[in-house]
Amino acid sequence: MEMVMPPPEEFFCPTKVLAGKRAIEALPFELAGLGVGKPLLLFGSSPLDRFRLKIVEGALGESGLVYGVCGPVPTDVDLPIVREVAINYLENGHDALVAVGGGTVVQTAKLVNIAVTGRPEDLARCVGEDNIPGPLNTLAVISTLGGTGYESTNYVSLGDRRYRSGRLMPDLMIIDPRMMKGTERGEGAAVVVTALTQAVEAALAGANPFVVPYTEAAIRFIFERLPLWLAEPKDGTSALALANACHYAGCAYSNVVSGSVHSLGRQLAPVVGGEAGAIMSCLLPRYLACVAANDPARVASLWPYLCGSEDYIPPSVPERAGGAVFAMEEFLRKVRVTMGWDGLSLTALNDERRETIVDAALREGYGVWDREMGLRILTDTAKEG
Amino acid sequence: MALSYRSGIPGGKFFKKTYVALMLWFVGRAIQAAASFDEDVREEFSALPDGFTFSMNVLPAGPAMIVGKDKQGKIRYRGWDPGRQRIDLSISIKNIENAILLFTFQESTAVATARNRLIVAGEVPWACAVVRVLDMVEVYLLPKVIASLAVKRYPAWPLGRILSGRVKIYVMALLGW
Repeated sequence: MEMVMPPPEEFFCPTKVLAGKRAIEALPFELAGLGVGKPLLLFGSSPLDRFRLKIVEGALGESGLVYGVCGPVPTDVDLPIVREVAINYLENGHDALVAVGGGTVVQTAKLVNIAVTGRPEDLARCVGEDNIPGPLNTLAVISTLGGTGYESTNYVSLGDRRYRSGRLMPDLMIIDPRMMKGTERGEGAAVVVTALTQAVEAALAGANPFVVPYTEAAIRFIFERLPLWLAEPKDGTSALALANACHYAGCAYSNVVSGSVHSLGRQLAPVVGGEAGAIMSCLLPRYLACVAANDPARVASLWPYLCGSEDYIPPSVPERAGGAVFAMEEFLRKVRVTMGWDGLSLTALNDERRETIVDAALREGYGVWDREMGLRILTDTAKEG
Repeated sequence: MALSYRSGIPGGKFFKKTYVALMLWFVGRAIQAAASFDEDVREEFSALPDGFTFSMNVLPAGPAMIVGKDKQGKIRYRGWDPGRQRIDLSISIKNIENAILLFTFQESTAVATARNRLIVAGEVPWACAVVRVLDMVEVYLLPKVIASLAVKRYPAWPLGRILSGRVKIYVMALLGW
């Protein structure tokens, strides 16, 4: 039998994850292991963010850790904010960043990390893919069930500047149920659907078997737990599972090229209004249908996660592909009904505008996915209403 | 809203630290007591080297418990300060909250180990022996409903052994025999 060498593959995930009860209390020990002596905590601007900061500071009791606190980070991050945090970091002799929360807090932390590890000019120099020349200072994220869905990823943006590098991924991710309390359903659902999109597109990219366990775990957790959490947002177990799923999806997303639904959702969000996750919930089933029409075997591979395969013999490949598309459509339809998200109205967009959006999304995804499929996804979604 | 900066110094957890310190003090003396009358505990320690000393402590700065064999082979509780003692086995609990989980029996030693809440520095077989000793001491100290949470498997000891051992261990631990 001939020995066949596997194709070249690359997988990078440097993040250590601590998830579960009292996980935040492990922060001082883990930071000490990373050689950190004086971290800078960043927090957000909402009352919930201040409450979460209190939890983290309480968890540091008896640790002997000296730290600084900087914030609140506003909901729109710009260069002056990044500069101010970086100045505080450097002037006070900090050697690590701890982002308490998600969204712009993590976004700011990643950008500051670029500026303080090297020079502030690096923020201009390192734009693009894999342009960060060396390891960055330690970054820890104390995750919430909210934000943008990019907290775990190798991606960050500042206005029109986009940075993508494995060095941006956090060194430490702490997922503690206490940080999930009080999360708004809308915010949480949007982030989870973004994570679902990341996971599904990573699974269907098919390029890297290392990604499979992450995508499978993310999709399973989301399908099992999102309905439970939407019905009862105080369900801490479901919230923890969803936060873990978002992290798995982020790791998978960081090892594939950004897919069409993901890119289109981000481009459409400022145009039609609403959360990118809500928009992705409309686009994702159309995407699956498009892929199933060309390559049903790929979509059929999702069937065990979406439909379950424990009890009976799986049907044929086309039936599994159709079943997977239907299951995804039903799941996301129920999420939209529960959340009161309107259907995505694309009728106001003419053909030229749609093409502009697809081209912008294609540039974000480095031109890997098919332009015609992107246009078809938008057209089919517009027809569905 | 403008960004603000402040330094932070973590507070203390006086009551939790005091509770854990008391528990370690009592468990240390209870191990000394149990080794004097319980055959199984003596057998576990006899398999360990002469002069064997182990510590159980909470990072980063205590409290701690040190127990070791003296020159005659008797098991002695040696306080909380290692000083210049050679510690052959160190079981460190990563933080005070993990210690609270352990000493309020929300997690057994086995579960805490599986959840990476402890660090063991020393030979793994010695650590297993110490954990078995701790389990036996906890069976003596605690009623079954609580001890079942603390140990991996509640032993099928005769009731007489448990009750007589419980009286002995409490008296001897309190009096320091």
